[in-house]
Amino acid sequence: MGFKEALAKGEFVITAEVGPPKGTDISEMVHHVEALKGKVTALNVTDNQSAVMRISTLAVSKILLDLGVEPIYQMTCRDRNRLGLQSDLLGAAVLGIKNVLALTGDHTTLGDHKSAKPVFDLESVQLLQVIQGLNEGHDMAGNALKGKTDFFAGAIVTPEANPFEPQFAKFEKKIEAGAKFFQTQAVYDIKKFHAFMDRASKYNVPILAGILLLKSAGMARFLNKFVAGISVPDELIQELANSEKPLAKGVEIAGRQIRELRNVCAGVHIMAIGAEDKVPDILAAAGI
Amino acid sequence: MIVAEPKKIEEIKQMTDKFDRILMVGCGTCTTVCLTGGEREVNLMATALRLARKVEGQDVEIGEQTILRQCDFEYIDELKDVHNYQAIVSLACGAGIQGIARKFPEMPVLPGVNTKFIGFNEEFGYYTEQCKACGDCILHLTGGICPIARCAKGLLNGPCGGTNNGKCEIGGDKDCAWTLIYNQLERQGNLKQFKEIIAAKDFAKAGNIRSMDLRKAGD
Amino acid sequence: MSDLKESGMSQAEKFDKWISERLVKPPCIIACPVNADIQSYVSLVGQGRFQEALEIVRERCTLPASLGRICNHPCEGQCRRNKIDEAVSIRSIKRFAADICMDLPHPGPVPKTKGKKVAIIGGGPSGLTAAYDLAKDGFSVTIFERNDACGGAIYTGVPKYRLPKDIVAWDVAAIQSLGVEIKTNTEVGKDILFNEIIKNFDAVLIAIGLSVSRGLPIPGADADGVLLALPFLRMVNFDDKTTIGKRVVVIGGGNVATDVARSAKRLGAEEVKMFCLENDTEMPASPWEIEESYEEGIQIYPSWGPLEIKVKDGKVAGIVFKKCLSVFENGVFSPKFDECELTETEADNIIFAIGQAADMSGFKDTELAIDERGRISFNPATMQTNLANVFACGEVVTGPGAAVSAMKSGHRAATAIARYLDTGKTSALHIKEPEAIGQVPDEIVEIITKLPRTPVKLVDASKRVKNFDEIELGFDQATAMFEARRCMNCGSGAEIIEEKCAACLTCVRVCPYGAPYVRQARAANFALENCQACGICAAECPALAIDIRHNKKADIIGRASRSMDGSFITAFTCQYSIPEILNPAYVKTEHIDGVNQVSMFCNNRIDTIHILAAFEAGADGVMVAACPDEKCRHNKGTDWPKIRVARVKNILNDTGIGAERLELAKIEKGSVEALAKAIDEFKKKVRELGPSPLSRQLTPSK
Repeated sequence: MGFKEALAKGEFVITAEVGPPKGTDISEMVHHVEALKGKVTALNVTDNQSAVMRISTLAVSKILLDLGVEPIYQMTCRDRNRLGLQSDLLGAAVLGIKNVLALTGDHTTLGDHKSAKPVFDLESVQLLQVIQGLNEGHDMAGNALKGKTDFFAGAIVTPEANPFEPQFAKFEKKIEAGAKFFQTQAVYDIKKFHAFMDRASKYNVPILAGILLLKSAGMARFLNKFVAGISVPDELIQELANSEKPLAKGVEIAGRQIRELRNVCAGVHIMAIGAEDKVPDILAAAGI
Repeated sequence: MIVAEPKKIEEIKQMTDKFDRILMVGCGTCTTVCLTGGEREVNLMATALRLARKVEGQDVEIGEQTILRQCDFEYIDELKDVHNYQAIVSLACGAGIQGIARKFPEMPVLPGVNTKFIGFNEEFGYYTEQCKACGDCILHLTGGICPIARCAKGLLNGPCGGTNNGKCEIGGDKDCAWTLIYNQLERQGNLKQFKEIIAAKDFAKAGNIRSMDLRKAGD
Repeated sequence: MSDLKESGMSQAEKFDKWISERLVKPPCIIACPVNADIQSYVSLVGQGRFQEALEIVRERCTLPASLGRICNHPCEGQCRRNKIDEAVSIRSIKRFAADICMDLPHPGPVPKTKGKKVAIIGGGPSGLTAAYDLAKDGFSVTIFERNDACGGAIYTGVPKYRLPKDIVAWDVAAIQSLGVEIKTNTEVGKDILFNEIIKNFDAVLIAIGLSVSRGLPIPGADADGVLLALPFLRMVNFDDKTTIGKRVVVIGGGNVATDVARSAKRLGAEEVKMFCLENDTEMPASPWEIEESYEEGIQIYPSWGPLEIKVKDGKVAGIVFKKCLSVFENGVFSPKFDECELTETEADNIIFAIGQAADMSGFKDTELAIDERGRISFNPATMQTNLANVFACGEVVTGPGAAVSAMKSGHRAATAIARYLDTGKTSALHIKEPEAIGQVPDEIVEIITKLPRTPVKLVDASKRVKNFDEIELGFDQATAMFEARRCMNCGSGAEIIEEKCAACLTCVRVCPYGAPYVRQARAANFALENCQACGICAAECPALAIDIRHNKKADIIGRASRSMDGSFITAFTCQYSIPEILNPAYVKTEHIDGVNQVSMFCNNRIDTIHILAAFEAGADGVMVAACPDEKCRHNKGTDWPKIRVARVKNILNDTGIGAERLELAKIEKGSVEALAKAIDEFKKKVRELGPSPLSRQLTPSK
């Protein structure tokens, strides 16, 4: 069943990510995708994630389609202006891509082409509006389309953002702009997540909790220090530090988290950066 | 005002090495106020250049003049004996440097500073960018805080996901403008404004090769 | 005022120009009756430039060594440092400047270019002052003095323990050296007639002072043993055989009375009592005179008026006083007594010190108009008598006052006479009264570094009453210079070139004392009340729009750039920290072996431009010798010398000269040894580095 339909039916949806390589050798990526085939409802394709240049997300989304896996086409506003974005969206539509995740995108100074000009002609809210417009049969300038799109558009939200209120206001703006599903940044604080879900419930929009695989205590600390909106609690860091097989421990932790969140969200989005082969183990640990 | 930073002595030396008679021109307005292009800096830069050349056993004649502004021809006209020199180094902002270049098109006019931004003088010696001269001011929608200049991504509907405890993801302890905007609008009891979606920027309206012409106002 | 020295202007023109140049002046100068340029001479003493200081003193205070001892220093009363800690010891600094130069030659004759002659009758402070001005203007001046030497009241009246007579003679000799002719032992009316003088001179100045002591016609006033102050003091000064009884009563409450009382004590009187009409707060004697009198065992009884002298066998036996209830009514002298409250004391001598009058006997039967009370008919606006070419000045027309006030009168007379002789006309003298700089604002009193005043030392009271030796011990050089440096340089600090000012607010932000202000983006201005002349603003101003009046940029750069023979280091030394370094050897050459010393009033004044000028002029090394942080007078949290030195070091590296050639040294404890050591080590280091690429040793200075 498709991603959109599964959510509509209320099934517990699992998504994961695939990060395109920097280069033309996609063999490893293909291998990962095939391992996840059938185990996840859809796979996110990241767009020059962390401002590091990689294969275009549009191309990889198509490859996923060809491999029989439903892609969620991530689209950031960092590298293309409104013409480029709309053009790529139309291209995605004709290639059969249905799901779009609208993101603003990490700043160029964080990536490996620090001297690049950051575009940001639009950002996530405006992009969602654009997608809505294309779905209605017109482009951003109001011109009628020769054939409209039928995108299922989503966005992200960070339940553990600090301060939280501006984040929630943005969440509301995204819904107003046409977001039909959400994937969250990594969740660790269950209480906060519950509180967030309570507030979000009135919007009746499916939200997939983000589960980030921790591979080691060091990685956890790195995330705490350098990645916004992620806050790994000390107890988990200790668990990882005390374990002889931290990766396995990480898998166990992820599984545990999924079990804890099962009843409060529409599904989970598993981020196993570079360890996509562990996703099945996580699912097993979660009892799925 | 316009904030410019001085170029390194080495860079200016390279630009001017082939000249023996150089006129260094300072600006008595913006670059004086930001301490990088006024009469004092002209003197320091000219002295440094003379010293550097002398160390290499060369002489150089450097005239030092500072005029009130370099963005008005009337003040540029106050420069004296310009044609005694072979090149001009200007410590004004880019507009001023080009003003000199327009007045003396046959002379090499070289920049002595890097013009950085329109900014605010927080305290002695410390300036922050406040305005990008985008040409379409929306400060009334953002509580008086400009996201074009002060958000690293220039977002119109922020914050982005990189916001971190009120700081921007680019680091360097920079404030997240949209967190500031949220707090400001909250202070003003106007969170409703924060929740309004601001439409994408009209870059055509902002303009290209821009000018402002008030001459026909009465027609 | 020193810049006007060689200007060819007359004395009056120079003074006029200076006093009106900036209409707000330090309060010391305004308080001084002769408006001496106190700030300049104090500053020069602080810099070790003693002879220049003395010249400035003498321009207005023409008897510097004498006044350095006896002046009642209204300047100190107004010194703005009073609000911080205590006044600068201006009088003692003046005394030091005179004393240290006593072995130097006197000024020397001034060419008599005017072809006009002036006679001055009376060689006291006012007459001598007029003589000084007129001689400097080029007039031929002759003083007729009836005593055997000039000095007037300060020669005959002021006791030796306050003012030794050789000191007076030195001051007089200086004036005489200008070419002034002095005829001593020449009394007008006896040795020469007034009418003769009028015939032989183009103008005449009567400056005879008040030489007659007043007495009181109370019963017993003619008894043997009753004395008058002025004749008594003259005896004390010139007759070693003067004696006095065991119990002396002095009547009077002014400085003449204390002079008399303290002299009587020194002559051996066992009991000296002073009685005066005024109550203890009204007593006209200077507070220090009263205090020193108490120390010397004088007993003072205020609020008593003499009623009757008790006589026995024709000699003084005692005196009765009645209570004085009040002295003045509506400002008029009108003492009220309680005739029932009396007191009596025994006495061997009664000395009246209740006032002086003029001796007009020499002008009897002349055309000089004198009123029925013996006063000269006098126009204070023009300084003239009824006779067009006869002028008057000093106590004879102003009434009794301080010596410095008499000198003010002398200056006015000289101005009037010079104008009369040059133009044939007289006109009312316009007095430009500048405003005094306001009091130090409360907000900055705590910020200003406190520096305790060095007390003026006196010989111990028990010792000093035994003789007439000078009781006040003057300052030594180090003390005088330290004391001079306490001066806050009021009004001598920041000045703005308005056209250059960009209203950037830098000066406002860097000033520790809140002096600069900018109103509505017009040019910066400086509140004189706040400015401490530290120089921080001048060295930060990006428009080079600020200079410091007493420490100007052109002067500093001139000194920083000079190439003195063999000097390969330029050292900017802070004057505040190292007083001893400016001993006479240094003072004369400002050139310590191989070092071109540029002394600064506070190294916060040092500009990156100054340091670079030294390198550009070919110094192989530059040292900035500053006070240790905790002693830096103007370091209020920002180490400006360090910041500027760092900037220049960057430039030195970028230009290939090398940052090692510049050193910032904080001289511990501000001692000359520490500085000499630091300089020696730096010299060694620079020698090892070799000559700088721009060394003046390598290239001959142009």
